[in-house]
Amino acid sequence: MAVVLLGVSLLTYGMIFVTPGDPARTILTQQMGGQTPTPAAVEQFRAANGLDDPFVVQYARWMGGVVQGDLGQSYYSDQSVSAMIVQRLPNTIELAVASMLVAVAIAVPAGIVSAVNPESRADYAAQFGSLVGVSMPNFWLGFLLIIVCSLWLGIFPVAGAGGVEYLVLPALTLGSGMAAVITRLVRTAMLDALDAAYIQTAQSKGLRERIVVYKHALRNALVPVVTIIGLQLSYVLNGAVVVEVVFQRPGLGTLLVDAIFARDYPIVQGVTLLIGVIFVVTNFAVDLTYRRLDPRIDLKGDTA
Amino acid sequence: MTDPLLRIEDLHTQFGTDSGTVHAVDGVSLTVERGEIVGIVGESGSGKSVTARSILRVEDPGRIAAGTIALDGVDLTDATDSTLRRIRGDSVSMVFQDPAETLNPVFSVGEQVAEAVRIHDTDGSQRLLDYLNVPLFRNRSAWTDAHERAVELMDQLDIPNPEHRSSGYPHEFSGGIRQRAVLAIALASDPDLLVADEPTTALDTTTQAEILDRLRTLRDERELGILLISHDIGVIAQTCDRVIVMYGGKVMESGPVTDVLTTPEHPYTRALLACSTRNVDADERVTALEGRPPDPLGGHDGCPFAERCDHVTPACHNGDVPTIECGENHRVVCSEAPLSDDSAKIERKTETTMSAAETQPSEPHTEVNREKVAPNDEGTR
Repeated sequence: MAVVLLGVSLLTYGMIFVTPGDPARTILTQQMGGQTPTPAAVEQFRAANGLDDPFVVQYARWMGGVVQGDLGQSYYSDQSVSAMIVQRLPNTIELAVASMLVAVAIAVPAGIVSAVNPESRADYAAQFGSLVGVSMPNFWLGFLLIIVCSLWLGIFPVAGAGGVEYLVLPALTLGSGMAAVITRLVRTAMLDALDAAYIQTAQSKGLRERIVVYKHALRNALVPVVTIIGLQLSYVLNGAVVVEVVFQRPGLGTLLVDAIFARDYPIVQGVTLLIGVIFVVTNFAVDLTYRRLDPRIDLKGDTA
Repeated sequence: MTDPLLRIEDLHTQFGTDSGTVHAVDGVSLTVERGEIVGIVGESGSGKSVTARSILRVEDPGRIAAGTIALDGVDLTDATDSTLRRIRGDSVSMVFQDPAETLNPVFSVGEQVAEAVRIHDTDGSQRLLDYLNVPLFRNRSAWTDAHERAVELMDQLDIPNPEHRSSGYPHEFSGGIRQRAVLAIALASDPDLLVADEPTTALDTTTQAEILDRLRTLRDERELGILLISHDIGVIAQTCDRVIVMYGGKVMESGPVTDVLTTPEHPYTRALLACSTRNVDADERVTALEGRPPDPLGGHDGCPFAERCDHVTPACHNGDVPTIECGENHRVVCSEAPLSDDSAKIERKTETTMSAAETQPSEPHTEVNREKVAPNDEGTR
């Protein structure tokens, strides 16, 4: 896992390094109110921020800080990158968790109902729903929800962050797309599980159908579902960027987008690294969950 | 006379497919008495497994189109779900073919046996949260008792070190131990009838012998009626009291094992015995049966074996095939039975093809025995 994390840090840093655009120039232009900075000023800025050093030196310096929990300083604000992230992170985590919950709450029951009554009306409805959910772009659904729920019905606030009422629409927007993917997966996994020979054993023991479905089949179906839910975290973080912009939520997504436009590299690097770390850690957690769900999976010899 | 433990009459189980209705079981009648091991033998697609599943009513996606399955006088074909659950939990259990597939991989073996014990102990009312082991909703003392009973059952089935094994998962067990665990699940409900669908096919011969031996002991100890399904005549010969030979969804021949296997009267039974490697000398070639099993789509008129039969007459292709009694409880469904001995076989075949069904060597003898036995008059009523 440490190796993976090191790779992630190297990549995020390296990618920014080769991205076109000169932070010194951009930042100075803005500081001077739109005037083109003098070459001398640019040189001075570069030297002050260590931008002239070779990649390896810059990376080593940055990593040295990262290991100590110091992600550097924003070019614009006086705050450290870590402080800015800590400030924004709760909002994003809140959104991610809420939309995951929305997704699971919709997808698992819908998938089970679909699988237990294949080719019924409920199944067709669920399948059509998930097709719509997969096909609908996040930002569009977001605006649609704002128009209907906030502007017409006035139930929820349009944008911003705060209490639960600010969370409902973004979570719905982000969760519904994920729900669509998970519904299909639950359906296939449940159909597979219900087809297995051990289901007949359970039935012929005289077990109630409900228990056969929710105990014997669901437990087996959950293994692939948990994998995807874990992988969907990347989707949530991607989606959070878009959804946060749409709903003007001050989270990691808005922070990242603003930083990219402003060429505020320390922030971009810090946020990207954090997202990478979250991703790796989640996958590790998923691996651990497997062991609980399926005793056949042995973690020995697994070194990631 | 009392009813037999299990009486199946004229069972038809069908599968609807895109290309038509598959008549998997096409008018099967049979009985199993308490303390009796009855074998069903036949090749793949003969309908033996579907017959077994129909008894437990796990024939889905098939459908029982006609016939009755009476267990201790209770008809299972129109039983309600709750009646079925009670019967499955109390009176009849099933062992399926491949123990690698029939145990749920994500629950410990002890849990799966204990579940069967609890189903048997609690009449009908199974609460989901209790079975999901949700704390607070779980009846802890009942589960502890059930787990103890599970260990006991596993011990009775010679699973070594049962206390330790019961917390193990199916993938940690060998095939033989798994099948014993499956048997433990089946016996947890203390059933009257055990339906075993190819229980030893996936096992090696030593383990197979042990499991079959175990079935016989169970029969003796518990007066258990056993319906043993196998494609292996050797298994049937070793284990069963009576045997039913199936082909194309129909019963071809039935009777005491010794009678059927030593003096088979149906051409199909003879062909099946000729294919068995046990009846062939080491340097002799094994005879394979020419042709393919009948297409089960749309059902058949006449005898399903007619296409491949050495004794076929034009009469075989149409109408009902008579059931002929040719010994005590030994019945053959064939218009040519009882067949004369093998030397006459070829001779007669030429005769019949030349002059239709007219002259038959054993005609006078057959006349006496050839009473058509309708399924309802069968056996022990």
